[in-house]
Amino acid sequence: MNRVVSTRRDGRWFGTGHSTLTDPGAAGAEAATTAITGTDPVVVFVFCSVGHHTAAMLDAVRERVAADTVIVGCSTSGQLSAGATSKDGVVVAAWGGTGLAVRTHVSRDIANRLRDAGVEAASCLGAVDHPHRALLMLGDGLTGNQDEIVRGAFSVAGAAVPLVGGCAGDQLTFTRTYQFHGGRDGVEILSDALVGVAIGSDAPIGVGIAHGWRKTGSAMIVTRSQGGRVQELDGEPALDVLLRLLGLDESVLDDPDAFRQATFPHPLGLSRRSGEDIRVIHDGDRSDRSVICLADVPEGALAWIMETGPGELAAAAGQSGRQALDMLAGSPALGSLIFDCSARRLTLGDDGVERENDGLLTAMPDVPFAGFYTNGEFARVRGALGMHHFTVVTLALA
Amino acid sequence: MNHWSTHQLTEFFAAVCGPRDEQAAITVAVERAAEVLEAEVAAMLTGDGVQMVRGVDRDLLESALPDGPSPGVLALPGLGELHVSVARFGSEPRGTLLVARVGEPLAPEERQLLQAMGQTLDLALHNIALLAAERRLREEREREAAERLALVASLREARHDSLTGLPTRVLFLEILGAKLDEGGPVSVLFIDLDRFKAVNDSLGHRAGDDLLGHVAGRIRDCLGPAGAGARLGGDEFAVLLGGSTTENAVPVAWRIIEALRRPFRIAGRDVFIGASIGIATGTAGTDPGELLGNADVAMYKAKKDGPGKVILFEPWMHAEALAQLTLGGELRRALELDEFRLLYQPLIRMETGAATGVEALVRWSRPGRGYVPPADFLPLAEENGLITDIGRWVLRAAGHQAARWRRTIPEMTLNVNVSGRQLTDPRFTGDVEKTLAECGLPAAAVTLELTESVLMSDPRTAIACLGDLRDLGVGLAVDDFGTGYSSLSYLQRLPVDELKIDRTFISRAEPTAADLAVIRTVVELARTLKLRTVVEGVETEQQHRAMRALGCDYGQGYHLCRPLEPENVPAAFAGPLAIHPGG
Repeated sequence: MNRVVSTRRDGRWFGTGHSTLTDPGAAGAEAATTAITGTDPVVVFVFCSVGHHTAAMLDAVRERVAADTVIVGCSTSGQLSAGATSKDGVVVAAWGGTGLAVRTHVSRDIANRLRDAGVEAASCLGAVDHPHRALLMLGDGLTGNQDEIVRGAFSVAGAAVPLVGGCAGDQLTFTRTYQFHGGRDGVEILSDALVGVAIGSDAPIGVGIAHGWRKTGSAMIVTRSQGGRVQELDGEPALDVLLRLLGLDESVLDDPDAFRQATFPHPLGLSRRSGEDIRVIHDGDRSDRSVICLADVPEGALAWIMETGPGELAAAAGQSGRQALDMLAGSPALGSLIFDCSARRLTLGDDGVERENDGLLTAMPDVPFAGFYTNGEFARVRGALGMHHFTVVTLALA
Repeated sequence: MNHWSTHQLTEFFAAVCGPRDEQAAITVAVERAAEVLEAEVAAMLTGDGVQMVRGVDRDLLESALPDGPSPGVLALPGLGELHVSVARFGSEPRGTLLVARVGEPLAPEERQLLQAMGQTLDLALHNIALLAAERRLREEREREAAERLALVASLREARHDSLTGLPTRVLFLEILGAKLDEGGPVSVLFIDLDRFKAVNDSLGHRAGDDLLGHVAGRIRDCLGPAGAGARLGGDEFAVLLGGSTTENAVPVAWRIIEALRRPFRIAGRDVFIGASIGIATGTAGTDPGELLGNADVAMYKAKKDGPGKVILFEPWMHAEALAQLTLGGELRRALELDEFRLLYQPLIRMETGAATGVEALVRWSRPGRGYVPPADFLPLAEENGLITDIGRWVLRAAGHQAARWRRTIPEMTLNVNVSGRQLTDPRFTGDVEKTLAECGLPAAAVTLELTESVLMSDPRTAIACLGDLRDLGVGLAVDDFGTGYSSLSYLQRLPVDELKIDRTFISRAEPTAADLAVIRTVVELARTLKLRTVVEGVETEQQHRAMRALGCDYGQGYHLCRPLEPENVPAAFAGPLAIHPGG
């Protein structure tokens, strides 16, 4: 299969680079050199594993950009580009040329004010006035109810501007994630931050989202919950319900990895008009018999345990890519960014990831793409909901 | 099979009923309506227009709805055509919930859901309004209750002292009036604490307040059922003894003085104070204010004679008090009118009979009224604070004078008396330094004298203040040593250079063996502590010889040399006895 890493069309270019060198500086240099194929990069995205998130890595990127190039990015739970994935490494995506602009705003100390953070991050949209706009957000993935980020951002962006992006990861250790923001003169390495990137383009921008899950068993009512902590389903302790439905023994709680191996293939699905909102169950709490999801599970919601087949889950990536391309109004895609849930990767396994990559390559032939495995995905094109889990989100630029 | 939309109503209900204020509830409702119905635009409108909107700018929506919200198709820039659905809610109606969606119009179930959302919002807003009204009412009631409580407290406070719980002057006079009306004698004790100010100044107001509380307790303990105490203000207390003659009141007064003389444990240390009490007695027909005033006058006299005295009121005391008041007024003007002058009493080296220094003594001559004895005006000046100004004047005047004398008598030293008020004045050390510099007088030529009672009433503070002075290089002397009660442990720690043995030790023209034994002990003590000794009041040749034999370093007194007018001082240093062996 032809794995394209860069394109150049009508004075615009898009490039990707991927390095698994263990030395962060060398990896940054290798990925950036491949990705930055033009002299005038407007923006450079840097996604890397925790450990590669060093000043030396970012210095290597900075050496290769222009004075007004924006550098943004974050730590990940794995990188992907041009049909390849890595656990440890660096992925760089860069674009530049005519008719493209990027402005940014960083919101800091966001943990207890996510809605305000969303408002602040979206404030940079006012600085771009191209016919096609989108707000890309890269946030700390450990900050609680990220729906509030989307509500804040949507209140500023409005329905005409798509929201897209992902939350930083840390190899599913849920300890600390990092966000990058800066330019040639320096790049800040932040935590507890939300980076807003307003994208302006003379050509269309497309956003796609898919998950590949289906409901299983009977519906349950979330009778008690607080944020992402579900205490009761149908009046019964949620952890007991989960263990019973999945046929798991209490001892699975002794090993967090084993617990996730068992629960990631069976997330909670919340009833929505056009399908289900997926909630990854990543932990159980013996003290109050609750289960903990990465995002808000509202009290009163109707929920199902979800399931999927290996083919369906992997195929979602291709669906997401196709949706994004479909929004380009017939224009060929210059390149795309992929935000893929880290729990999907764990659930898919190596074979599934390969099928997923094949799906992306098939759906977006001759389109360079790069991205990372996330702790939550942002995507809003229709309606007002924009925070997702267990999905794959694609941003395509024409 | 339930439709998905009904599932979401529970979620919506839970979310919208959460907020405590209207605006937050409306925001949540609009956001959740857009999310649930996958609408690009959602809004809440009232008769006044758009209250809250998501998805487009408020102005854009208002201009797109010229006739108010109604179902149909709406074209918005950037979004194209949207299908609008509305749900009016509330009886008036309160408002309209609007959603606009690209692509498909709302299905009947979705329209039903929107209507239910509107009604839920109405219910939530209604509840918030009720709760807000209830909260306002509760706050209002709480405020009223607090105001009533404050009023009661303030009334009580006006009649009861908040610190001690004792009646105030107002209530005390009422009780006193009632007792007098009952007939029979009533005695009033006016109690003033001694050294309270020193405690307040050195340990702080909190310790002072604590002390007053304890004092009140001890006074209460001294009273029988017919007694009532009051705090009149500051460190003044009063007691009334119903059915009590003056004679009966005196033992009570002494009991109180004894009780207050015992140490108080304040701020982790023992604090010693005392009290002076004036007693006045009245019968039916006596004005309570006047009776209290009489006791006050007697207390004033007790204080003057004291401290630690009990004095019974006598009518002539009023005249004396008036005279004191007049004197106080004149004393205030004396400085301005330059009525003070200085005499100098030489200090004589006992071994050689030579004058080595002088002590500056302040004198006050009132034009047309004559000489006022220092014992009459210095305590008054101490009491009203003028002593600080007088002391400053003395140091400056004596300093300039001594500096002039030292041009021809370079070894001459100067002793100046310092009051307790001056010592604790935080500016005092700075004043001394400045004054000596102005005069051109070396600090080593000056000795500041402090009475034993000043130093021992609060030795810790004294040690701290003296340390600063010592750093300047001036000498320090304990004046009137032996008249007060000196703690030897403190004496050892006081940074002083000189002990001035009080004249009372040699009051007899021919000292007895006992007198001499005491003085010898003091001299030996001073020698052990490496202090100079100066014996005061040497008035006879026998005393002079005895003191010299005991090893006193210096002496003062009429026999050695009387206080001199300044013009006579150089001559005293030039006499045959003034030849210093080493000079």
